[in-house]
Amino acid sequence: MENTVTVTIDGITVKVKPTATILDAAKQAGVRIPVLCADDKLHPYGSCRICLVEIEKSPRKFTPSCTTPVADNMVVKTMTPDLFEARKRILELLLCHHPLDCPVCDKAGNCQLQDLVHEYGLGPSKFTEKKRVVPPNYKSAVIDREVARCVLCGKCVRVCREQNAVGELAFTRRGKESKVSTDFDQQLDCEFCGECVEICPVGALTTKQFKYRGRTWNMERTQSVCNYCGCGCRMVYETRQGRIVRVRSAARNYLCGKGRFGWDAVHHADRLTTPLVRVSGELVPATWDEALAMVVTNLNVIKNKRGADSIGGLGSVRTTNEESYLFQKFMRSAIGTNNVDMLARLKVPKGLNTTFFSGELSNISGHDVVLVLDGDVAELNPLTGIEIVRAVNRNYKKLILVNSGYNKLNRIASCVLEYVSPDAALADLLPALKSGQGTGAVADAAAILKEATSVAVIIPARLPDGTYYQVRELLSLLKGATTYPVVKRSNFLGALDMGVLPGYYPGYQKVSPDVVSRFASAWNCMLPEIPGKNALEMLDAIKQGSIAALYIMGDDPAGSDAGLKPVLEKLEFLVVQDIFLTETAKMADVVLPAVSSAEKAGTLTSLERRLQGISPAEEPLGDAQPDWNILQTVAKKMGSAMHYASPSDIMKEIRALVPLYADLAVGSVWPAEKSPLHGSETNLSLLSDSVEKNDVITSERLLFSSGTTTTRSKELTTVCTFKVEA
Amino acid sequence: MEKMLLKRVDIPNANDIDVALKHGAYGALSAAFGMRPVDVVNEVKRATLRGRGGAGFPTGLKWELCARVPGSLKYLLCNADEGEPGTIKDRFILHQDPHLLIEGMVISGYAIGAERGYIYLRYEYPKAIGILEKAIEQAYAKGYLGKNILGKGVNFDLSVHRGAGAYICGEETALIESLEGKRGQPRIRPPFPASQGAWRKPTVINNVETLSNIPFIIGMGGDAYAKIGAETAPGPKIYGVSGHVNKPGVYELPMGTTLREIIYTHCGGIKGGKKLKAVIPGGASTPILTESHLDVKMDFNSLVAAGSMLGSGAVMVMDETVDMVNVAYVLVRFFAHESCGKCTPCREGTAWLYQVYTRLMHGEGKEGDIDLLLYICETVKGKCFCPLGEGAIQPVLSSIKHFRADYEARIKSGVVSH
Amino acid sequence: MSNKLKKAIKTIFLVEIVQGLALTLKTMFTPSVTRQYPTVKRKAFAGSRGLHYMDRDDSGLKERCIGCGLCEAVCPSKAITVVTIPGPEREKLVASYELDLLRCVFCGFCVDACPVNAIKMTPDFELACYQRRDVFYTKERLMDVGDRYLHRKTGGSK
Repeated sequence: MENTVTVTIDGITVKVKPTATILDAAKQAGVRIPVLCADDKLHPYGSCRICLVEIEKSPRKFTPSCTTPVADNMVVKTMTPDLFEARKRILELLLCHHPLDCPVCDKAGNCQLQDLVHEYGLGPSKFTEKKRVVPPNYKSAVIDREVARCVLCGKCVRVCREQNAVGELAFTRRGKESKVSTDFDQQLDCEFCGECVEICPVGALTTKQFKYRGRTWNMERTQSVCNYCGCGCRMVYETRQGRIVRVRSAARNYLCGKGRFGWDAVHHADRLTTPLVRVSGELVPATWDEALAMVVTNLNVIKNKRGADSIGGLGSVRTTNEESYLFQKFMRSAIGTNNVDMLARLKVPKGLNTTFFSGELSNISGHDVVLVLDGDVAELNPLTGIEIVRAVNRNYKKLILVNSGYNKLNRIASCVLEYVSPDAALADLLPALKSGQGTGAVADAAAILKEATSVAVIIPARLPDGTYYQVRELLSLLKGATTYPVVKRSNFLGALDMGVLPGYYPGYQKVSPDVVSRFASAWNCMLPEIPGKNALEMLDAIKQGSIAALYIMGDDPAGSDAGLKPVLEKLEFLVVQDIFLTETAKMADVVLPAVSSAEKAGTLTSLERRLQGISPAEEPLGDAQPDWNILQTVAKKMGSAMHYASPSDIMKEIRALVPLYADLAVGSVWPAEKSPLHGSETNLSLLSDSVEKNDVITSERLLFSSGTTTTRSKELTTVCTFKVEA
Repeated sequence: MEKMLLKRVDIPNANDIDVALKHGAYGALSAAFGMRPVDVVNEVKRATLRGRGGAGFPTGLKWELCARVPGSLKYLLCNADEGEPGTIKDRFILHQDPHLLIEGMVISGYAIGAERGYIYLRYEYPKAIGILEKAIEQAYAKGYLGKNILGKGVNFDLSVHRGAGAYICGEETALIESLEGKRGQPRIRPPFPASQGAWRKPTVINNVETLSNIPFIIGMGGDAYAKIGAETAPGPKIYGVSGHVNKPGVYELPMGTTLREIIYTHCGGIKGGKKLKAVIPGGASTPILTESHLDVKMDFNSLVAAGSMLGSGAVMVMDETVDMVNVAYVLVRFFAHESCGKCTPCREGTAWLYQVYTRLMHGEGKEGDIDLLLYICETVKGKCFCPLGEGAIQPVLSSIKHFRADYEARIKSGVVSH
Repeated sequence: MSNKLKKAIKTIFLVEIVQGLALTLKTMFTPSVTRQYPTVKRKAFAGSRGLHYMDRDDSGLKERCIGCGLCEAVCPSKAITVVTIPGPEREKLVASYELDLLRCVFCGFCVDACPVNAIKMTPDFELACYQRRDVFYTKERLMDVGDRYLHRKTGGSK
């Protein structure tokens, strides 16, 4: 059987897969066929009839190219006078009841219908009857529905069901009265990912956030990466006169509600604009010189009096790789301690980046079976969720879900294991796989897994020791298993790679005489030779008084767990760099205003270990400065030689010192085998059974829950309150 | 010709299995089970049976396509969504002789390897659902349905699914969507139902009348069956005649009977001795014919040659008093109401046509409206997703073609009606 | 030699001076071509492009502008800035419409681009002002210009 067929499109001959449609073949041939209802993300639908083409020797005059599969030796014409006229007529029909309110429509300039109407040069319409008046629907949070502008292409309906498995939008009524609506015309009650708005070819779905805020042709666009979770979705900031007005997903990318609508926290009134210092118990605004002098003096005093190891540093998962690198360099070279860690290490699965290296998310749909051990994955890592849904809905793969509750994945799962936790499910599933024991869903799941030649395993974010070994056993039983660990926080992997770890220098280079001397000569300074304390040990040390000062960059321990407040109060000196006055910052002696990821450049490393660049869309707010610059200034004042003009200077140094990043291009993934920790028993997670029992800051955060940034997004708050009311 | 399909229709209580059995129901089952499934398919192919739903696709070929697809799970669907205006043929079988249909379905299921069947019944036949359900229950009790039928190891389960009142669900892919619990809209083809139909499994969908022919083909043999009626599409055909005739009703005649014979011989001519003006030969979506077409044979090919279609064989007869603008208006109103709204030409085109006709009916016709109607039809033509849109413009095109004078008169006089 | 003689005669009898004085005398009785600007102003030709004004909508209470931003898009010298916001009924409100006359080249593209004929031009070309802020025309000022130009009394805004 041959694997390609030959098709001629407008005289260009191409070889395509037999399953391809004429539209696919035309794309391959570089021939543009106008479309409204077709999209790469979706199954063909064939409703708009704009994409009609002519096929030689076909009994039909016109054939829709988006739904018709190619045949061998097919000869297709995509533009003839008849086709031009046919498309023009279709456009005329679409405009019959269209309000033509382009001047006030937010889609104008970016509207496929508008573009096509101009392209085909429609004159006055023959339609002179009365236009239908369809009132808009502004009842929902976040998304406005301008029903009259709808061309009923069904993309929103399909993206909601096929890509997101939510199915909130649907067609209601029939014929000329059909419209896209919700159950019983109620408000939207969905994930508010905004994909429907993004995919709408006309202005029928618009966001409240962007409503009348600008015209598409006035926007300046900045490519960047979302900084909310570890997925690393590429996005575009659209700015008008230097201020962000909208965030859109980059072409063929996905954004969740947080990524798309949560950016407005950047404009929140609570943003820190000046440094704050504690004067007689109160935090008062100060100049940078005053604040930095206070930081330097106090750190020097404590360092000289009690030794460098009495100072600790807590890094962040929200900062860029460059900033994380500089943070550990600052702690190690300027302060002189290896006490540098992140509390976020409590929130990742055991074995991450040692046993469980994530595959590329876009490969999930290539597996025969997706085994989801964490039912909340779609909420924690929305892109992973989308890829799982795509595997099922687009590629007809099987999904086995471990979930005690009910969410959208339940709707598409072939087999649901209703267990409270993955370990309980695995306790039944493993014997079933090994010896065929088990009944009901477990037996079904085992049968599906046994047949599969490749399995994607979604590793839960919370993985106690017992479960960790169960998962390892499971992986050994499966054929072609690839793991996809859930990583809740955005640049967690980047911070790990950059050595925000007490026992490792950047690139997982263990603190050892060789490594220390290499870094010491590169950094031109003395470096401590014994590993430092990890975050939990640091907290204990603070309780016991052996750590007197803490430098926190972009984290909020007291906000995550109020129980840590008394611990932090014991500190003699606390410095916090953050963009908001968080609970922790309120306790600090000096608060240094940092900038958000929308205002700075740098790189992030996603959960796929993909290096991605972010770019500033706005100028820093007030006197705020990027974290890397703050660190560099403090270090300079403490006598360290740091001279970086921009984050790319820092990246140059990283590439020189970290083998993993030496020739890692932006946009590519570093191979798991290159990690020194590959396959070792090292645990990069701080979470263990004993920690969990002691209940130290392990509070869970879901998509729209409390968070430093999410709670300060106006749009996301409207969703939250709405959800509570409903 | 001896009645076949409507053989038991006049027998009281023929929908009861005991009465039906007395008159020969389920007689073809054992004969069919004695053949290999592929032979049953070949028998139907020899009979050159063409689908009676409207499109006239060769039934044997459809079965063969489905039977060839590997896999054990297949579906047989019976399209009892008889929504075409004027069509009443299936209702007689459903009401009076459901066992004929069940027998046909069991044989068909055996032939294509389907063990699960559904009868998709139109919402507007409330009486039929009770009759069908009772008949199915009786058939189960007597062992004509269920596991191991007649002890021959053949399994077939059958149930009735009632539609929700949408004309579009008579289109086979829309019927499947509706059966699956989705919105009644046609689905893209390919994949064709024969390879991926209901629940993405191979599926055959046949009309009630088509399935009812099966027991007779098995009973008399395909070759004998092929000798009945027209050569290209043999077999008995049920014509449902309505309108201005003396004896409207359902007539089973050999395929290819002329319109003249149907109207003047069987239906007793035009009511009140008036002149015939127009005939719709096969339901609302077929082009209107005139008196000059009376000698056209009522079969698939002859009607296409005459510029119309056999459709469902619902003959609507109109005498000289009828205003064709009104006829077209009523039909267009129907199609505009029933358009599912999926594809642009049908949704917007039928709605536009309806708006123009409404204006005409309100006496607000304008110079150039005829051209406008033709323009809209041209806009819709050849671009629709399914045949509904194509069907919707037929009454307009044919009424303008044959009765332009009616339109001109209406525009000129500005008479208000309705 | 006659030329020399003629020249001598012309010089002696002051012929050219007399000719010149005659022209002067004649001109004294023809109407003057110099306009006494600014006391006397020429009537503008149709289509003169001068100071802009904003038309009012049918109610006369607010601007006709719907905030489509096409004038801003078409402006070659980026003199116009339109800022819109959603109103209480989710309608499009023009929060501010600013015209920077220092940048304006009076090409009139904005007038051509306007889909609702809201921005128009008066023939007024005397735009000198004493304060720099006076060259920034807001929506309200543009409407006042229109009221003055059209001698309307509907204007309520300052």
